[in-house]
Amino acid sequence: MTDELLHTRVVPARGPSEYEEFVAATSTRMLRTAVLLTGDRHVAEDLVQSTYAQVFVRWRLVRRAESPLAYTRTILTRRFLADRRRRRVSELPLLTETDRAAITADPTLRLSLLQVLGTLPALDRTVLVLRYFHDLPVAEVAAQVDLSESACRTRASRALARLRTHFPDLADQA
Amino acid sequence: MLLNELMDDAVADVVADPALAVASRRQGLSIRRTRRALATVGAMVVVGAGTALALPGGADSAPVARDVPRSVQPAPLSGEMVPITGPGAAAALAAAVEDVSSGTVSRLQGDTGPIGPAEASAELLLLPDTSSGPAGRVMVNLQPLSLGGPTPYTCDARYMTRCDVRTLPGGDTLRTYHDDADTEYGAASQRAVAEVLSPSRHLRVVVFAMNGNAFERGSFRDETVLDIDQLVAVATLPWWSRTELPREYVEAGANSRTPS
Repeated sequence: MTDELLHTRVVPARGPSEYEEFVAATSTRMLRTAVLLTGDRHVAEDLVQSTYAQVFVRWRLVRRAESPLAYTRTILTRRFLADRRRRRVSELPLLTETDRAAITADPTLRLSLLQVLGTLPALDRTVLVLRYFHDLPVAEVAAQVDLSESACRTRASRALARLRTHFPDLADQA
Repeated sequence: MLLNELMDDAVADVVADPALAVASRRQGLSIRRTRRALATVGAMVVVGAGTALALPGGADSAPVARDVPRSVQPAPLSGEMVPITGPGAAAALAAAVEDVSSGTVSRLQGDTGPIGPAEASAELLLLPDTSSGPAGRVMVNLQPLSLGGPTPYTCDARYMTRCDVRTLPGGDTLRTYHDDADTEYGAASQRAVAEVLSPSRHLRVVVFAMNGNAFERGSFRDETVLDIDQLVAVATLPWWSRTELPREYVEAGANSRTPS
């Protein structure tokens, strides 16, 4: 489902249940985004819940936003990046040190996308997820992660190149 | 193979728990309660320290609200107007700012009659949730229309940049502009202004936001804490008046903590 379609469906209505309706309509998409970012289902669920908690706190503002979905996605990605900066711990919850060594040692080893994404810096991973999973224009991705457009393109290109070492069939994408 | 397809496949079996809305709402309510508690403590600290912003007319002008509770969003407005108070003006400004922005307001102050009779002003500091930098000053002045200058209203090139003047439905005039490099704050200071000139209400509403504040001299954000669109939304609220405010805001202000 594209974000545009989703957005069309979740234009907020008025009334006390609109928050629940919004969460119901968008949470699977947000959780999938969080899984791609964190590589871990439980960490992703915590991230999504705390994101929607912030959305609830600011609901009067979110519901009036041009795109409540985009607003929520921004909160989620920024919380993810801020948390990574704060903790400065492993970028890869799913991977053990053994897994990580295996990836480094044998690039042809068949790994899941989540595992390979987990080897990328958090910011690069975020750029890829916003650019390709959410199909956002480079300018919008750049604005969301506080990068220049050229820096954003560079990071995306570099991250794609690293993915290709594990997924050689990955097609060129603008 | 496209990356977006690969990503879709990787998370195709991920489905959110329907209980998420309930859990996140509960967490959100907890955050709200915590913020309110912290805001109350913060207000007490500010008052206890005797801190006050310098409003036109000085700290001796009365009545002045040194601070009011952080959460001043009242219930839906009843439409009843009551005589304006300084604390009520501060509560009204805070509610209006919270309505158009996402951030933390502090150091609320309101004043009536600082310059002459039937005038009011209020100000606060707003620290936006996004981007970095110091809190920015936000102020509303409610003045007689005569202070708006001669008609027709135009842009004064001596200090107004990026200026725009237009007529609003109902006949009011909206003037927006930037007035940067304030001599008091420094060359890096920015001020965005929205001004409503209302002949029918004999009222001039001036709302401005800055990219810094008097407490953090020399420190500025890249942009003002409210942009022109947000300022216009605040300035064009229909209930601004020099003499009255919605009852709910005056009541919210009455609950404010004023110094003894």
